[in-house]
Amino acid sequence: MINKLLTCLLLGLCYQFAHAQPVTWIQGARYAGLANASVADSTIGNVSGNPAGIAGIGRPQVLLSYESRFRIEELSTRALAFVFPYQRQVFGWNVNFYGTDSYNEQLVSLNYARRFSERFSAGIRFNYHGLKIPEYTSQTAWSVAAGIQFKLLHNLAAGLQVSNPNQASFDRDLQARLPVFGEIGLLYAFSGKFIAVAAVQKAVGYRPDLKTGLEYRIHRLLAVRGGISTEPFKQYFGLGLSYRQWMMDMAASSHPILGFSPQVSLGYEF
Amino acid sequence: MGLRILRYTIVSISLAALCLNCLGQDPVDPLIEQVLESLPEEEKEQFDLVEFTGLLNDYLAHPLNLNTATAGELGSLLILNELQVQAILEHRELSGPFRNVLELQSVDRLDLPLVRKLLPFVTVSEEQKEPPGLGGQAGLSHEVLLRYSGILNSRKGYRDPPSYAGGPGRVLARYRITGSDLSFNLTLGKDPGESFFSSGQGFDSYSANLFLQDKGYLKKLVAGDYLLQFGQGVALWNGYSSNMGPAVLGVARQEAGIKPFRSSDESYFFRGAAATLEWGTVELTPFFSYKKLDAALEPDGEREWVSTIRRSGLHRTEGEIAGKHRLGETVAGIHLGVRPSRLFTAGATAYTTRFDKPLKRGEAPYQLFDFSGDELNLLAVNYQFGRRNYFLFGEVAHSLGSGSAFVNGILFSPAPFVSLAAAYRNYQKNYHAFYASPIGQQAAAGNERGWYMAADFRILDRWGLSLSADAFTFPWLRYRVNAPSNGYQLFSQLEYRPGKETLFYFRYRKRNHPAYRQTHIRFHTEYRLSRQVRLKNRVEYTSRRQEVRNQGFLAYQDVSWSIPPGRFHLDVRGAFFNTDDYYTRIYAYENDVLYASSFAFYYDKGTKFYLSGRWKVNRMLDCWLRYELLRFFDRDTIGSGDEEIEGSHRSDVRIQLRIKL
Repeated sequence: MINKLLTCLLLGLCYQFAHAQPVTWIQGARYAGLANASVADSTIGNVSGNPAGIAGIGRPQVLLSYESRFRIEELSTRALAFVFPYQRQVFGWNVNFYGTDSYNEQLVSLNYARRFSERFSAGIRFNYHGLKIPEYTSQTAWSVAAGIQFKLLHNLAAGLQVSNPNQASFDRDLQARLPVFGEIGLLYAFSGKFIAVAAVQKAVGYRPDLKTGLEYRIHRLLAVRGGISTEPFKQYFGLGLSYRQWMMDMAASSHPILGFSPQVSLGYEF
Repeated sequence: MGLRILRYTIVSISLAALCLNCLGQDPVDPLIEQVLESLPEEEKEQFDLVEFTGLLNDYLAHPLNLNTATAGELGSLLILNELQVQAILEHRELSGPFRNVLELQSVDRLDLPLVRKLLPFVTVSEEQKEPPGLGGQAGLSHEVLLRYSGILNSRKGYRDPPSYAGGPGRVLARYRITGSDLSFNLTLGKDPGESFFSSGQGFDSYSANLFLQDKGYLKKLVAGDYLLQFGQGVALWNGYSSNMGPAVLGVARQEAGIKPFRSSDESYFFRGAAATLEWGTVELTPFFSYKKLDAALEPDGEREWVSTIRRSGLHRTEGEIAGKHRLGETVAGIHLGVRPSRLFTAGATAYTTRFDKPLKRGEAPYQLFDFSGDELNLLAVNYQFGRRNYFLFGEVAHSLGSGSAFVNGILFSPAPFVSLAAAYRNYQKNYHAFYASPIGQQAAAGNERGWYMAADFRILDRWGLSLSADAFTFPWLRYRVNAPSNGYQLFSQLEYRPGKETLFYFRYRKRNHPAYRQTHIRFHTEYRLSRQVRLKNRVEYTSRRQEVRNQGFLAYQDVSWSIPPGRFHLDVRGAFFNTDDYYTRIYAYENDVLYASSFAFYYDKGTKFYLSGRWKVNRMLDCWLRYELLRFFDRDTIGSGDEEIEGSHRSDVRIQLRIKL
């Protein structure tokens, strides 16, 4: 009984404040420090972002991430991602778990991206969504996402992504919609050490969200990041450590009312 | 009463006839205007541009020597942010003294438009600053300024029977003596409605000070009225302060220490004496002040306590006159500063404020943490540390017996022509400081927390992009806000300068406040049409949602006409405005006589027209004249209460004379 109550409360909460990002999956702590404005960038975090965004990866990589949303354990996400390049193609696989025993969402996706030329790449992703509330319901749904990226100048890149254009969702009586959105963005590298990213995301039923982030590599081993998004207004901070093939990132976003959501990722490049 | 107005009007019109060719302004006034336009507009109550325009005009007359200027002097121009100041000092250290002002172009982080803005205020020379002497003994210069302002329409408070004690004119008289290391200033003022000589009292407000500097160990000494600025303003700072405005990196302040007081504001200054003594890298500033404030008092048995302190300086009606100078305030304290290297400065401030009658807080819940009592003691510590491409700053203060406040921040330049700023502030709800003015959303320091982030990009000497975001929280209740609240503010400005005197900019501002949401959009252009004529256009729109949605709109066209070489100058403006209510009012900078330029606000529906001119008669005498006509649509009266005017239009006139010896 209490579980049901808690579940309804959580669902209610999620819906109410879901004018936060309408997604429960995460893109890794590096992008979390950049306001998730990843659409024009090309690193492993994009296995849950712009499908074309993994096309630039040269070596197999794995990424393990954990986010504690608003520091509430029941609202945490755990994710594991893996990318594998082969000739001009890159394959990506990722799995996200969100929630606890009484309410959880799973996402498993397969990503395929290809570099068509020096300047242009495209990708597509198939998502399997699962939603489980014990003793109440257990549902699945499929959705698709596609994206492209192109290099405008040697230090300026642009990206475009659409997610779930077919508006797949769970059973109608569940009132749990899978987000449908489009996103467009830019990446500008001022120097080898300092980049700026910006993106606008428009999800159906929400106002357009402008996200911007900056990353500065202080040192070969350390980078700092910061960002802002406008719908709702949130601030992001992050730190990245890299040592040889290892990468560890930490980030937190601050919602004005709900508080901090820390995220941490550990990655390895083979 | 009517006769007096008539007399004043006749005098003004004859002077106007005389000065009808009154066109004259230094060609560098547009530069002062540009600097002022980068200041935040919707100001906290006691905003007085006089001090700042006075400073800029002084630097025009006696430019700052780049080879001897301190970080404080360079920062006081408000044209440079802290990173740029550090870049100039570093260039001086590494490449030796400047040989020519144009060398500024080779300094890191100063792009061409910025150098152009800075040039009129700086110079390069081996010698000490020269006194301006045109005559006068021992290199002293004398300046007398007389100003009269009046509204030509009659207001209710002046008609029979008058509720105001005096006439409707505003008078300002100022006498200044300036030397290379001393200055003396005397300011006399009368506000509209205050009595003037007829009741034997003369002017309503008097202010004077004598200021000495650079006498061996005595770096500064002031007797009379003065201002103090220390640290980041969390504990003690009066006078102008940069805040989160269009100059997005202005959050890092550069303290000025003691400043002689020169404006006509009647309450935010200190009256007494202060000195700065310097030994090597240590500096000590003891200060003392005693002055009388206007206050409304309530009796409580045998004693009286203060219900309100009035800071407007108006003494027109019986009630205002009765409250004049009823409260004695004593302030005394000391500031210690150390500068172990150019890069690192630290300081500590301790001072006490005592009243001769106690203040009592109100009883509403939002006033629960307000100050009460007759004594307030403050302690603060500040620091700043700058290196090649970053600058750290901060201050922590504690009001003994109540709360604390602090601000810490960083300015950082990760790539050429990109500068970032971040600052975190936390002023507890029970922190009190009457003379503090730190960065924040409110006028006073206390009951506020916030994170501020900003970025500034300068590209190719032509484009500029400034962005800032501030997320703030008010931990306790406020007037008409019944719970702790929060909000955020976004600012962005894109500017394009294709030529030396051409500017286009687009500004977008959004404020999400607990009680309302407001957006401002502005588009502004400036260009020089010919050697004699400059044009400016602006269009601004604001939209506010409080329970309903209201809008405001302003458009104006400015024409500036100079006859070179700077003898006559005229600024003309025609503006049209249409705002739904007072909250959707729009602020804009207006040209005025010297030292009187300000930000005026436009609200309701109507048009405004003004002419502001200067005639440089000869080396000794300058005269200014300004006439303004404000017309409202759909109105029978303007203003309310004693300030009410019959009719739908209002005319203002202002005349100023300056004699320099």
